[in-house]
Amino acid sequence: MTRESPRAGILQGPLMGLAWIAILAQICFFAAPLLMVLWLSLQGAPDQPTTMTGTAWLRVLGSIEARTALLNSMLLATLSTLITTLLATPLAFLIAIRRRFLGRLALGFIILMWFFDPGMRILGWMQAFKDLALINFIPVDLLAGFSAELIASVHAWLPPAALCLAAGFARVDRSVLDAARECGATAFVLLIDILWPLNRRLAALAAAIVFCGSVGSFLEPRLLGTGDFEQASEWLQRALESETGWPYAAAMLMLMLLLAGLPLFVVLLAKHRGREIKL
Amino acid sequence: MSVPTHLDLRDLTVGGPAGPILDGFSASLERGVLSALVSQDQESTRAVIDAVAGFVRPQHGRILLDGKDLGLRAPGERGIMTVRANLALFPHLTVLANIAFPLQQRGHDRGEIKNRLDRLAEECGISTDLLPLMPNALSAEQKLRVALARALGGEPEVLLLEWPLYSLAPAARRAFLPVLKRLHRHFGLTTLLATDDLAEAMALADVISVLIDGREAQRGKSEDLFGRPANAVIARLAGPCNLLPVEVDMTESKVILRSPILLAGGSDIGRDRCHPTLTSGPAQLLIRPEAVRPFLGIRRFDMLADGQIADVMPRGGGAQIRATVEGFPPGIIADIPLPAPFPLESGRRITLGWNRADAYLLPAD
Repeated sequence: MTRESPRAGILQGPLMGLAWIAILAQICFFAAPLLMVLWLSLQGAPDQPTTMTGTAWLRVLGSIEARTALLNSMLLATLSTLITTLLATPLAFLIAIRRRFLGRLALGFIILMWFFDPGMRILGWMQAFKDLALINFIPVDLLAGFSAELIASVHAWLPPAALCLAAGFARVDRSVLDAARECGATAFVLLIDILWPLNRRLAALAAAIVFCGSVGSFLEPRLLGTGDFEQASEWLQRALESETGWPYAAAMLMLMLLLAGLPLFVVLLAKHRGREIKL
Repeated sequence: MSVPTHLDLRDLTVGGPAGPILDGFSASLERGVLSALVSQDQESTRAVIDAVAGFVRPQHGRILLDGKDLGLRAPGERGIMTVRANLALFPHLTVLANIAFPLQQRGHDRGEIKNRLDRLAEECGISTDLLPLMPNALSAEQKLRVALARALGGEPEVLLLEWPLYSLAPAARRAFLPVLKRLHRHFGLTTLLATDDLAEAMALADVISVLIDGREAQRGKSEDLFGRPANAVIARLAGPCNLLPVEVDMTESKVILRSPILLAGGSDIGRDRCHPTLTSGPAQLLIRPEAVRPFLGIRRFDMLADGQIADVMPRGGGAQIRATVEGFPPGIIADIPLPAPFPLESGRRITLGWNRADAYLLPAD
């Protein structure tokens, strides 16, 4: 006779049935629209009737505009991820490790940042720097075009990235950090040699959040000063607005989803590895 | 010639969320001496360790190392290293990298690090095949050796050991005591051992402080704490004991004690066998089980009590018996060497005896 584990009781009976229904409902909720978009992306465009599936994909991949928009989004997302992670790390360190005045200040800063839409913030800066010329020594070009979008993106994703890292840093055993400090480790060594390696997965997750968010972000360059930097999301919007463009929009959406999924593999690969030193 | 004070803790008070964890603690650690701090409460010993190591700023008091106030010095600049109860090894670094970490932070070159690392590993009993392993692949004892090697690698002037044997099984704890003793002798560091086990402290330390409720209850050598404890709590911490309730009448020349437990209703005892704060009235008579012997009518004892054997527990080369006594339900514990003069069976009547020199009078709780 085999002994049942105590958990077995919970996983049986009517509750189990309800749990399965909930799981299936969740799968349907997320998978159904995704499958629909995939199906749409494989359709021929209405203006060019054809029975061959995947026409929309071919048209999108063949379009220089679409490829440029995708590359722009990739570039923006990659730069946003790098800059955001670099800025978020010291902020997370202050919030999680230096819990006193500086930590509270950093947390307050992060919370304040979250209150305002990034586009609005950029506009506000432009008002202050460019139109009102309150401070005229800052290069105004910084606040227009690609750099404006980059600033806005970093501004938008810094709070979640910093809080994500801070949550990980705060979980590290305090006595391990104390041991490192006692050995003479500086704040920088603590961050690079102890906190980062112990939070490799979480750091990858924070970077993935920023990357995924930036790839799909929609920041209107015209609003920010110039219209010469089109992102994938804007291309998608234009495609949706045209009467015959919905299959292309679906194909672009699938490409963006694939792009956004890339960093998730990085998270999965970021294993807890030991560090060796060579003497 | 007196040994100079190396680490001086003056009137340390450390606060916690519900009042002070440590209240006015003072201690002087002599250079190269192993002192122990014993408390059943890990918070208060941790408060001392954290304050000395620089992780907690005391609300009040000073910490002097060689007469210099450590005040606002950062933990890495104090010349103090700590081995924690959880050992706090870096989980993502190999054993080698763990031990080398303080050496790297102190800017030693590779050759120097390698030399020191080899020496430390050998002195702490870490075999070379353990060096490439991660800490989670080690046994509790091996982790402790690595933590000790890392702490010693920091070239400290003072070594703090906070419940270092906490992660070991009781048998392994006893087996590790000589290792700690040997390392202390070898490195000659001023060492503060914080522990919950007074027996462990008595085996290792030259001077022992006992903390109760964040205050120092007694300080002294192990024989003082064992034979002349300040109160019943310390008496019990020091090892198994009998604390018999007695009534004391203090006269100028001697102290008369009365108790229905004792045959003849009482006895007397010298003033040197009484706690300094003892006054006439209720008191407790402390007798260690090894001083209690069965009375066979041959050997003379100063105090006797009649009882009935309730439990017999074999222990080493003898047996420990508990004899219930009328009017004292806990009974009297006695260590009887084997072979015993009569069969040790439950229910057998027995008369137990002990001498004045082995007894000590404590104030009632």
